[in-house]
Amino acid sequence: MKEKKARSLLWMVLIPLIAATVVIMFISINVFYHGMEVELEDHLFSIVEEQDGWLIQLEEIAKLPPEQSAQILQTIDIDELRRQQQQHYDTVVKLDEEIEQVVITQYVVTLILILAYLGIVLQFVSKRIWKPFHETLDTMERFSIDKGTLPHFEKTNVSEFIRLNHSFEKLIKNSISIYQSQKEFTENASHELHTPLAIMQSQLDMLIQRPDLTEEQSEIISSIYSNVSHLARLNNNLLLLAKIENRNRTAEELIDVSRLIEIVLPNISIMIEDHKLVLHSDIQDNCMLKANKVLFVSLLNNLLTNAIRYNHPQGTVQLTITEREMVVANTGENKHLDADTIFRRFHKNREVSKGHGLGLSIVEKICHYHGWNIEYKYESNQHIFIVTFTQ
Amino acid sequence: MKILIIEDERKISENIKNYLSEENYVCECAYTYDEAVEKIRLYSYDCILLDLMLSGEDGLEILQELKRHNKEESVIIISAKGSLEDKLKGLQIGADDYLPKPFHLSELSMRIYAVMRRKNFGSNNRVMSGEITINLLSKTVTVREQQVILTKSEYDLLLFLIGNKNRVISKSALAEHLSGDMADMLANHDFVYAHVKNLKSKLTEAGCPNYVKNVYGVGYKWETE
Repeated sequence: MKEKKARSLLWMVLIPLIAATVVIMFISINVFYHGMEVELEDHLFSIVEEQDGWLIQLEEIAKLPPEQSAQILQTIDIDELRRQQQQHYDTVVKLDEEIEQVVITQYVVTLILILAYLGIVLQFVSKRIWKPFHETLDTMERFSIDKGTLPHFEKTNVSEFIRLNHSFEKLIKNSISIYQSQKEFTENASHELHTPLAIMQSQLDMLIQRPDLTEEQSEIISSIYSNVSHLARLNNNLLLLAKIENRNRTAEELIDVSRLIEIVLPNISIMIEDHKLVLHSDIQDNCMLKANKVLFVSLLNNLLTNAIRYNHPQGTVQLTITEREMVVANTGENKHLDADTIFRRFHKNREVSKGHGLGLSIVEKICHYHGWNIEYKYESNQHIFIVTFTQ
Repeated sequence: MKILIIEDERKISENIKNYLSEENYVCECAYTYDEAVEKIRLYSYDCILLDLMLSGEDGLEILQELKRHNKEESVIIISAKGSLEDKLKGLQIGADDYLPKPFHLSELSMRIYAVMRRKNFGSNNRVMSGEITINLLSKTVTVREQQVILTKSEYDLLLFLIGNKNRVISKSALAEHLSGDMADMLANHDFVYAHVKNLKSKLTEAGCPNYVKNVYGVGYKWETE
């Protein structure tokens, strides 16, 4: 279905008004014109009556004896009569033309005046009347729920707009409180999970010290171990996500990226070696970036881990950082990933589910937190993630 | 060496105590804020393990209390409050290290070992175990006067094993120790096996008996006797 083009309120009011004006003017002009024509007819009638007078006069003359009538006829100036007749005729024609012209001019001038009036006044009036509405609209457009602050609506004395603002305020207040408790829930839940996880982990650490463990028991313990670890990792990452969402942009500093990389890369190298990959890094010299350091390290780690994890043996990982953007490219499965879903929580590639499913969500959240843009593309057998920094 | 464990979760407290007693540490436990403050005032310890979330009280106050009295104890914060602000605040007030929960007992033991080593740095910068001598300053390892070249991971692994000698260290604890910040991103711990294997072969090549015992699939143990 074709979508209707959006039109402003002013136009919606203006269009029927203009249409109505044109129609009314058209009707009234016709009425006026007909009125004028009646006038004209009256004028014509008077001429006809005058001619009738002449005819009667002629008849009376005809009844007279011929000498007398010839005498009288001689006194009548035929030319004068012709001239008068012509004058009458001219007047009528001129009158008719003039009426038509005047009527048309009037019609046009009035129409232009009315249209101009409508346009200017309505624009002005509508601006004044709808001002509170536009202010509310602007406020709503600026509002973002994750900022957590109630927007301030300008005071107005129009009852409809007061109602509108009230209902908006109520709605927003409600949504913010629901959003807050939802966010806090994740953070609190993660905190609460730390303690039982810590107990389980320490119990396991004690259990494996027992000298009388059988091989079978050891295997079970090993499996519990890795699951507890998985749970702990999951929990830490969920907590990180919740924290990024719950915090405002604070603690940003100027980071020396080239120096930071020197700290991050050795940690990565364990995984690089393990997967027998080749890492190329190309970092612009003296690259400085304003960001939250902890989050930036997490962003780097997540992107690189991802590039390593979903690589194939003997593959490559390419890291490029300039002051404008960061690019992580890696070889891997020869398939374009769905750019819309990869950043979703717990969206994992089903065939190779090696991660905890939060890495790219964290990446996206960190980018969003800094106001950076993240983009995924698949080009010449490389999976490429591009983070564009906005300074 | 005396250690005070300030932790309101008795099960954890008990496990830490049992694990550390292997190392000839003498451990005492405090479960509440008042208990902790009382013990700190009465006795002196070498190291204090401090949980920041004691029921109802802020553990950071205990730290401040310690610093007010110019106590010399090393403090390691163990906390479920994983936030960075708490970590920075704790380290600022004077904690020596910060270990977020959940942690491995072997990692905790290693941290205590490191803190103690730093404290007595002047007196001892060598770690010895069997034929192996580790120079902590130059980060070199020698076996019978002969230097063994180790990668950074292998060196860390060796220190971790020796720091937890005679106790079984789980594979995940080793993996998390080796990967540092990356721990939360690693999905499997198989790479530990390769590193242990390399370390073992380098040490045996240098003429050192195999002290690294493989404990079924669970983990490894450093045994010199």
